[in-house]
Amino acid sequence: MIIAKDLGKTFLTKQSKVEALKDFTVEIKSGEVVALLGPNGAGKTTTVRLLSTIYRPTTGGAIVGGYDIITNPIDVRRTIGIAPEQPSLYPRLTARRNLQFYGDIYGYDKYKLSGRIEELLELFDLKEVIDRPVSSFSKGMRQKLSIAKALIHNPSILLLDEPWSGLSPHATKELRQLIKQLAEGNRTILISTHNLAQLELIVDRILIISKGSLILDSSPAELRTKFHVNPHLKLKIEGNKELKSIVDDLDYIVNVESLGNGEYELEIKSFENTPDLVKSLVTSSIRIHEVSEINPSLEELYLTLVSE
Amino acid sequence: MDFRLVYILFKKELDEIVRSKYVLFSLLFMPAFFFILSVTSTIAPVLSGTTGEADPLFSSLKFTDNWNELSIQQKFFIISAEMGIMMLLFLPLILPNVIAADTFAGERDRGTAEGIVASPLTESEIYLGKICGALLPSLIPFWLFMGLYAITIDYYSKDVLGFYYYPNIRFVLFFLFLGPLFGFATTNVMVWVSTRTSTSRDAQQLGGLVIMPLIFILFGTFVMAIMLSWKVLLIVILVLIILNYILGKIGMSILDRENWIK
Repeated sequence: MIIAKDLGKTFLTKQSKVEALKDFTVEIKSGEVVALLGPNGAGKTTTVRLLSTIYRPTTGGAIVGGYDIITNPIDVRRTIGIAPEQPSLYPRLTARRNLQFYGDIYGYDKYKLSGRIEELLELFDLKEVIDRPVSSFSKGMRQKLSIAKALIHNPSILLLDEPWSGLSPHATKELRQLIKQLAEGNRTILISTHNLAQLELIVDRILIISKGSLILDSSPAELRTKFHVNPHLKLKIEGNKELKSIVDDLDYIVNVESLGNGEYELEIKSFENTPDLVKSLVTSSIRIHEVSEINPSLEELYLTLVSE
Repeated sequence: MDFRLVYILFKKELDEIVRSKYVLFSLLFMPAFFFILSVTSTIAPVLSGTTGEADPLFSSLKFTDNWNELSIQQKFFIISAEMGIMMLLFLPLILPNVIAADTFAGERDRGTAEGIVASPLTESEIYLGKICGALLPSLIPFWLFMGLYAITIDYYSKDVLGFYYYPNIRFVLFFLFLGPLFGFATTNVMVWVSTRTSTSRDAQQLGGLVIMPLIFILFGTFVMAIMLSWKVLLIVILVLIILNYILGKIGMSILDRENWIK
């Protein structure tokens, strides 16, 4: 569990004062998977570093895994696992040695450590390169090893800072699946990213920060409702029959857009209305080839929010 | 402080050093170069018989109990041997430069610092682990080449002097105390510089300047040891222990995880 109250961080330089995070108040329950979204420089990394006790807060405080980040920083560090944006791995050392070092530091049982290392490298599909120096790894492999490193002591809270940064599409997809797998357990995961597209199917909640302030805290579903983003249906019917006149009377249809060749995109109030729509079309002698649900992307909504 | 964690960090530092050809080369090449220089400057003049005229300074020194009974060649041999030791004593001042400058600044350069600062290690444990990781690999070549030097000099001293010159009390004090203490002081200063600079190159350049006073202290110590007595060295050792304690305390107190990765 993570509870932050009025958490803030101001950096003082000789020339200026930068408020990187202000009044960040949030409660993340055990087992929740939360995305911390925001453009570059919004304060995401500062938030992660504050919660992991790397930075001391200027204002407010937080309880992470039951420990106060100000009075019990070492206990907080023992409770969390962190994968920073730049994987903290020693390039000259092998994957095994890197994990062994962190396992020892976190006090993992030395008799069980080698088993744990093998288990993690198996999970992350890195077992074949276990004894290769990290300098020979691709960016995707390093990112996976960095997450494995964060999990070495089996922490109840996992903080991932920009895990998709600089990855190829293939590595991105692979990593998304891995995080999805991790999210299925009872582990609290906070993922800081500017890439919402990777998170839609993984997260329980979305926090959006911009210019150091939390501007939104909501579940993906609530987000859609709150901003009146209705679900869409893709419909393909036989011939070029005019659909608009048929569905005009249905009060749950918000908008109809013809895509040509008998294809339509319909904005409806809820997917629960789909069976009724199909029934109405069949009653009107329309032969349906295809009906599919389209969940409108949150990406555009997020970009709109951040730009505002 | 948890010394188990200090040891884990120290072991990791060693692992990194033995996998770096550049660092290993520096740790071996420099001592070998100093060793050859010291041996040849001691042995060559004696073997070639070009020991020069008796210098009044020779008479004022007293390296052995029978100093006044020794020939000019024998006196020259002993003074050269002592000068060689002084050259080797520069090693604990120079070698930590290679590793210690990289300890903090290097981790920041390579982006590995965040893993350490987010770990349960305290600032003191990080500092001590890093100090040990830089000091011991620098002392091993120092001890090794000091030992080799003593053996080589003894090989010739039996012929030239009629007895084995090393180990003597000054050698033991240099080998066991002064070398390591100078090394510890340099490492402290270099690690301290490394925490304050943004790249390891900056740390090495600045560190080179910062250890200059230590080089003067070393030179002064050596002159005192040969002009006065080995007993002076005990006072210097005591002063160095106090200096190192203060440097270590300052180092631990100024290390700040937030500033390290900022």
